[in-house]
Amino acid sequence: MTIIHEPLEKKDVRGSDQPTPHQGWSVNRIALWGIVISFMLVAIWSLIDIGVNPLTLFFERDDIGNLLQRMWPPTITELSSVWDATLDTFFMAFVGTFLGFLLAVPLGFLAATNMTRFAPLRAIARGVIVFTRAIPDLVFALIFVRVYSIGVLPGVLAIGLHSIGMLGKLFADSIEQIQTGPREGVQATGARRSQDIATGVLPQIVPSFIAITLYRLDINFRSSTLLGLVGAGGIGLQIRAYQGGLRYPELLGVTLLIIALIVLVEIVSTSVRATILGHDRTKVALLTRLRGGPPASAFARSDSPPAEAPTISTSLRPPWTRERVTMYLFGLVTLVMLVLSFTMSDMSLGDMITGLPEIPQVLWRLVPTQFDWWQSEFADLLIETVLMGFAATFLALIFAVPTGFLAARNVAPARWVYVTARTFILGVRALPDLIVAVIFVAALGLGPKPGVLALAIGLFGFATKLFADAIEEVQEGPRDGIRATGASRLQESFSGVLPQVMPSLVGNSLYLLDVSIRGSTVLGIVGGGGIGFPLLQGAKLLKWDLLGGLLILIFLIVYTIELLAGWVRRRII
Amino acid sequence: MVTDTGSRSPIVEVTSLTKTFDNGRVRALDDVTLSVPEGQMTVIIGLSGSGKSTLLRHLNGMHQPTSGAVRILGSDLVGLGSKDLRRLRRDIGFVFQSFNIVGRLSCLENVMSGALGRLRGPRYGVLSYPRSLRREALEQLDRVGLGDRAFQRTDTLSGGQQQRVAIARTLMQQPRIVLADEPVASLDPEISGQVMDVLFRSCVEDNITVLCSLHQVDLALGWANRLIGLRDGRVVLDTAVDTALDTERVMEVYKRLDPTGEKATEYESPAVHQ
Repeated sequence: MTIIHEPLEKKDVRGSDQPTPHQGWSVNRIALWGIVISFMLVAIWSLIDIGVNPLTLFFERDDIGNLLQRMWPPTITELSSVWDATLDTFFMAFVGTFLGFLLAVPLGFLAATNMTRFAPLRAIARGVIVFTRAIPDLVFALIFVRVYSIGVLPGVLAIGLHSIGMLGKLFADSIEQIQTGPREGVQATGARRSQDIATGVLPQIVPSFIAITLYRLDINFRSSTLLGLVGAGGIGLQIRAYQGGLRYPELLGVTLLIIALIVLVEIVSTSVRATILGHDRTKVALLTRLRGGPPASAFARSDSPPAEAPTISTSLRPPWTRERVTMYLFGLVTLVMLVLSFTMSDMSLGDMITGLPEIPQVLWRLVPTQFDWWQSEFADLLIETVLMGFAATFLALIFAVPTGFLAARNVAPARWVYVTARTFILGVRALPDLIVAVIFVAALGLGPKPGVLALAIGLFGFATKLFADAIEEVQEGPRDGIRATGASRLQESFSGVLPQVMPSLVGNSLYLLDVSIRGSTVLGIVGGGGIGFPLLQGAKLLKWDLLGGLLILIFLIVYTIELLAGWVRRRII
Repeated sequence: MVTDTGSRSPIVEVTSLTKTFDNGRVRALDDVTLSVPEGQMTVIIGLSGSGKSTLLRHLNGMHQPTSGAVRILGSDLVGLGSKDLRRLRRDIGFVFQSFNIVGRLSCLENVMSGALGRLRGPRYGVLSYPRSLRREALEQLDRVGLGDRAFQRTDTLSGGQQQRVAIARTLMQQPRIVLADEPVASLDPEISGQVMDVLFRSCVEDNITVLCSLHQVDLALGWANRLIGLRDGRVVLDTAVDTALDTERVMEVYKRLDPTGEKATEYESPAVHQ
């Protein structure tokens, strides 16, 4: 032990000019720990204030059990209308994602430093991206339903607008990450700017753009099942009707149907993503490694045609390789889906084209002109919203960290544990948190308590997946080192794995807090406490000033937390 | 091989070219003056950090001089508008050390991108280029020995093959000058010889003036008419290549090369210069 310690201490002495091995307390370090500690204090306070703790679900088991009893057995009546609503939901998510993609691509280019030199333009693009990301799609839907009336159209627009946030940000990131060499090569031939973008930039970004958009489709399908709760079409309308009519068996039936569909869509979109990225050599390496298949080099060789190679190709048209066929098929399926969306649902292309340009006008109407909308209770509700976010994150983390270790293939004590844990979190993740909130509100009554519990369950699934994925990426070397000293399996996890995943654990937790506070703003719409209820009332009574004012406050809160969390994350990782 | 090129008009004229980076702290080029007649094969040698790349990058406008003038193909490069610069670049091919091809595109499409200067509007996909250009690109690929790889993705090729695709792209430009910036520095010696052969043979066939920077003196001597040596941004050697070439004088350019590694000398050289 002493042998290891000696050089470390020497280095410390040299580094800080201090005889003690402690690091100095710079302003940054004080701020960092200040933020981390106050986050913890707020989290603990939030649990006390809302009156929840890790065992609340256990204590409330009677009420929840009673409700589940009333829900049993799950039934689905009015099959044809449920089927229509399901189709509507899917098409709404599809067209919304497509719309978001169309809007996000130019914004991504405008926001990327290596594409847009003019800083103010970049700042405007970033601003739009940050704003659309901070406002939940449910809130956009709430507003658009008042303007475009109940139906699929407001849902499509809400999904499209909210998707811009994530898509635009990730697009800009992947544009900024391209290699400059190929661009330089194209520019050196005397190509114009548009040619340089098409030949030097596009081929580098197309695969990641497709992967990101498919991932967003997955997310949008989940949230599209809920948009009906505020009247924006789809299966959510059905849920609202069953909730209002206390038709619990049907509520459970539709919920189970939604869970099954979400799992199905996730499986399909993951495999489509893998097929499309599969042609990328590096990604193939990753995929085959995961499946334990042959190394990437072998794959690449078998893909290229050396058998017919020696002859000089005489054709001037590219051959129909598997890659080319896949891309054409992908394009064709997208097109067919778009056509189906407009023919099979009650959505019309004309309505969308006329509706879209009205959005800036609608948003403009939200800018508050006076301040008589403010009521003192809003301050309490805003604080409650933030506390709900903290409480849900805290509860989720307590359960997610240990479960994450069980769901990581390389750490799980046995294969069946890993498989069970993964299946369990896939199921939990498919539960739309607002539907859980609807059920908990029905069981426990109105207020922040059922809201926090529902949010925590959703976050738990998400957090466990993030943690397990991070744990699976740790290096084996340090673990072998610990194991070689004769450590037990638990000691090995603590000393060999935990230190490696700590930065991503903290980073992911802060990201979850971000997601959680955004989620807590809409819980009030189903009676789960927080600022969501006045938002719903404001939209119902068409009080634009109130809606706009609250949205600005929500945006400021969410954005502040995001900036703080981002700052801490960068310091720690 | 060695032809008398003195009587022809200069195609590249560099006058008192000085380039500093980091607000004058690093002096990459120091009062470089040289003139190259059409059709000449010039090889520039020197240690890494001696200014070879910086000089070549001034010749197609990727760098702007701190002071001095660059005249190429009759146009003054200093202060040239971006539109005129693009037009000029069509006639100047550039071969990079790191190839700078678009890895995800097929070889044919990479080669065709050399013709973008002749085309209007952006292109995406092989079929977006006219048939005649596709045929032309296939011929250029064939010329560098890769006619059978037209529709293979370029990043599945070996390094030497990728550089040959880059050379074919440059030839596709139908340039009057080719600038090659250490084109074989990242390849093994045997492949290096093949790639240099392809580059110089094609340029001789098409009567293209070549300025090529190199590390390996032996690779240079086979093809060059003229040898220029750079050290610390200054021209320290400028000689015609003939049988009487003094190897001692050539090695003089590298004389600070420490057998323990050239990194050390690289860091020392600016200090020595001042």
